[in-house]
Amino acid sequence: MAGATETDPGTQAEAGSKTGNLVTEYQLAWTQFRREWKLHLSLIVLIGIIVFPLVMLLMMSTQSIQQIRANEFAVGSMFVENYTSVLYDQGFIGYMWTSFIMATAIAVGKVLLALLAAMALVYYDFPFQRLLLIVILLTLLLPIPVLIVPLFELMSNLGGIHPLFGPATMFALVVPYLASPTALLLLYQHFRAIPDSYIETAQLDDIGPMRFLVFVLVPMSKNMLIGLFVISFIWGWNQYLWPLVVDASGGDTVVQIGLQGLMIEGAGEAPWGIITAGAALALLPPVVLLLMLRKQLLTTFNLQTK
Amino acid sequence: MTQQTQRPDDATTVRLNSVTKDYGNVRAVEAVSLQIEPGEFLVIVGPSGCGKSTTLRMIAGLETISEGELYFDGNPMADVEASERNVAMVFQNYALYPHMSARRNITFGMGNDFTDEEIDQRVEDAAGILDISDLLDRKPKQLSGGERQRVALGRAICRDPDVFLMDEPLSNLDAKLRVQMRAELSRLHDELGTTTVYVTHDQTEAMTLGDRVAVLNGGRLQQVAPPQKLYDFPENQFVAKFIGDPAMNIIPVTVKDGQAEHPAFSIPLPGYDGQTGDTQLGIRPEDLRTVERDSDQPTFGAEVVVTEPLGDTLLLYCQTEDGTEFKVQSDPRQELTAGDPVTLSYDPERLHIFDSESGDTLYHSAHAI
Amino acid sequence: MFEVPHMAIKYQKNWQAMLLLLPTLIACFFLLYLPALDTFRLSLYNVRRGREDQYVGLDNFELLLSSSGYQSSVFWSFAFAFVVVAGSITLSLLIGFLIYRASVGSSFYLIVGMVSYGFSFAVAAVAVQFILQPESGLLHSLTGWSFDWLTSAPLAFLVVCLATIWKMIGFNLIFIVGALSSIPDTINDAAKLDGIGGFTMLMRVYIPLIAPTLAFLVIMNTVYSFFLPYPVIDIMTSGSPETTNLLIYELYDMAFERDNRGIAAAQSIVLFIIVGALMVGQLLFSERSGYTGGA
Repeated sequence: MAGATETDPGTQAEAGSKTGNLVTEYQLAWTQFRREWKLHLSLIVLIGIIVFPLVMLLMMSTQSIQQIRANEFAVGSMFVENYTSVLYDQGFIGYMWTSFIMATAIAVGKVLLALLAAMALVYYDFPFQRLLLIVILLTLLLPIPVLIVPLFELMSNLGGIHPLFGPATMFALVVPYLASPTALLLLYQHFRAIPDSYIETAQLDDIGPMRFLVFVLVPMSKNMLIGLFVISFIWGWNQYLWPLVVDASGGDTVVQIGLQGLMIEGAGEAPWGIITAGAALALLPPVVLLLMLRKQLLTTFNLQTK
Repeated sequence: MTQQTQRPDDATTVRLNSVTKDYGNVRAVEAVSLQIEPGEFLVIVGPSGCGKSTTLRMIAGLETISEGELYFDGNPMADVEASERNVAMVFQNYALYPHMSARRNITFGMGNDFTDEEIDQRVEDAAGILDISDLLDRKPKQLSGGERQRVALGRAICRDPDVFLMDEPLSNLDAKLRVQMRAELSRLHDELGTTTVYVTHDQTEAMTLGDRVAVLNGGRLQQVAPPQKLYDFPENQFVAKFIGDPAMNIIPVTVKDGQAEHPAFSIPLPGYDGQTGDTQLGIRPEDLRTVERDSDQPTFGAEVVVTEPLGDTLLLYCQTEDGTEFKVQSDPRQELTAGDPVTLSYDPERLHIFDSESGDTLYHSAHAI
Repeated sequence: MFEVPHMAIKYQKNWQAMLLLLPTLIACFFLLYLPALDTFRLSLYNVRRGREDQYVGLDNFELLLSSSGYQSSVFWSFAFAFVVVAGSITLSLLIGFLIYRASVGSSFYLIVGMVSYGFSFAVAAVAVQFILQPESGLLHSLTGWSFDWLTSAPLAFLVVCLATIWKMIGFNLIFIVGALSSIPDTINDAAKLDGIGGFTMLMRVYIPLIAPTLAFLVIMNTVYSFFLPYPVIDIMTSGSPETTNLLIYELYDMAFERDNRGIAAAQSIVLFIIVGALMVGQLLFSERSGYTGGA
């Protein structure tokens, strides 16, 4: 194998052996790459095609209309102008804020509710326990799009009681998403996989349920809780249909609807620079979150990264 | 070393009175009665599935008792929650919280019973006894198996419980470490004097650690006695074979006229007045030995089938002409191989006769001599 | 002997458990189950703003099922689901397989490939639109080609499928690479020694081994394709030509543009039956095969 070196035990200097290993690692990687070049070519092409629209989108968000028409494949000169226009003239600052509050509230709410419910279903023993679990899981059959008509009516009625609960409110935006059967199921299975001896030790040491939840269960589920948070945030941020239904009355809506608003405006000579800037803003927070916390996300999906 | 030491009259008595555990139709433990004296180190030993862990968990309160009673110092425990029994348990997998340091693992269960200074003092003392003072700030994944074991022990000690319960705590350690930890557990018990119930499937651990050993099989208590007594005077065939390694030889014989008759030999049973007819003769490999052909002791002949040189002894698998197989533990440096004939003698004070059907012991030659 | 069943001891104060469950149960009841029941009720009425609700019995359903527009919507929704599921899973499988077989850089490829899980369908619609926009899109600038998919029925359908397939790749890729990673290395080693090539391994070994994951993805992709791509339609075609008038788009239009909530409720029930049947199929299948993964 190219690059394999013999180490003489005891006589190799510490620093020398470290760089030696680094070099051999790269040599090894390069050799393997060359051996599978066809595979990598295909991968690069495929991944390239997938990522190409995104790259173009980001690039165009920095370009002027002339640069766009000229198909300049480089970072343009209108970065500041495009983004300030989208943020201030088109109101995206407000939209970003609304989306941020909504997504965060949904993520926190979903994870918290699922955490408490999983605790109750795993570490207690009461009648109809399995039944309640099934009742919660059955809501998988009721995704929000199927319920938009009665939900809107519900929010309108609640709005009559108090404006805090009406349709065009954060309350209406967030609350329908809070019960998450999938988050519950994942946490439920995770808790059940924790060895019995932990809860038994806690029982013998007279550690109460809240202390057990906060100091034992939560730290031992850290990756999954973070993963669920990321999944829920992305889901909440990317929602379109329900925010559309609920904000028909105007006000600061979410970024996704704001994006649609941009598209309508440019009938004819579309201001693609500004539109793509809006799209870039719409995609940035969830994608950044995804990339930063991908390890926890993949763990939650039960994966091992190679 | 002050607060940790319990004087024997402070220690707790644990009494099981005909305790039974059923899981639906399955009876895991049947009518087990044990009295564990204050400060005693009692080992419950038996093969997998014999009910020893279940019995331990009933003492802890982690399982309910189907029939029978449990008392701590005369107080019935049936309605007392596990969290209120003041017992500490060391599990086979230690159950150390992976995200907490060793110190935090130890103190987490100490709750509100102690002041902060007391907690720190206790942790220091325990760490000193267990030799883990340098490891207190490490997380479990930074500790070796033996070190994790000791942290789990430290957690149990610092609770200052009335009873220590240990469920196969040494099973996950390699052989050498196990030997080391056995000695440490003994030393610990000498220092602390807390009533301890220890469960294991390893009869060596049972013999070396226990003040008394209770042997369980099939959910039933076979015998409870100090180790040597268990070894010398097993009350039934199961105990006889379970205790002692290599296991006792059990050879079918016919008893007639005070002799144990066998195609290959006829052995006198002095003072035997039990039933005659078909029974089982028990004799341990270490109570058989190879001798010169013309020795003046009672002998019989056999052929060597397999030799296992263990260094300090030579284990011989032998066979008599009629095909009866048994093991002999003899002197290490003999030149013997498979196929060699040997002359064997036995220790007349170490014979046992068991009933063929019930397995109960009918006779120990030591009692008669 | 027998294996003694051990159930860890639990906490005793069941009122605490009730308290912990309460928020979730309240959310399920008031925001999911009650509205669901309300949908059934609404579907039997003629509901218009400013007028009294009129009981019409099953008229709404009769109207729907006999309307050729609605029938067309049903057909195209299923066609859409089929194309999207087939296209997205096939592509993700191919990419996932290549990533799995690469001994260098697989994490890099995966990271890039999973990005479409992060952005929304609205963003996907915008991205595809600025490339494929007739006359003013990137494709036209680069190559001069221009497809008038805004008015061509089959082209509009394909464009909407394309955007959706592109968006779904990230999600499918994550699961497929994960499932492949759990295949024991020894299988690959043995195959290497036997000289078995990559494509054979894929068809004969990998796909069968990850079949539960694939089944899960097929069901989830199908369910998702009935309502998640709403923004794609809203942004790109607004429902016309009718090949892009999917059921969910019809629903919103009927409820909030044409303002007939009764019929919209009936449409919701049709959608519920479709989605419900698929989810129940998935639950039953995973029970039988023992696969409990999900997201």
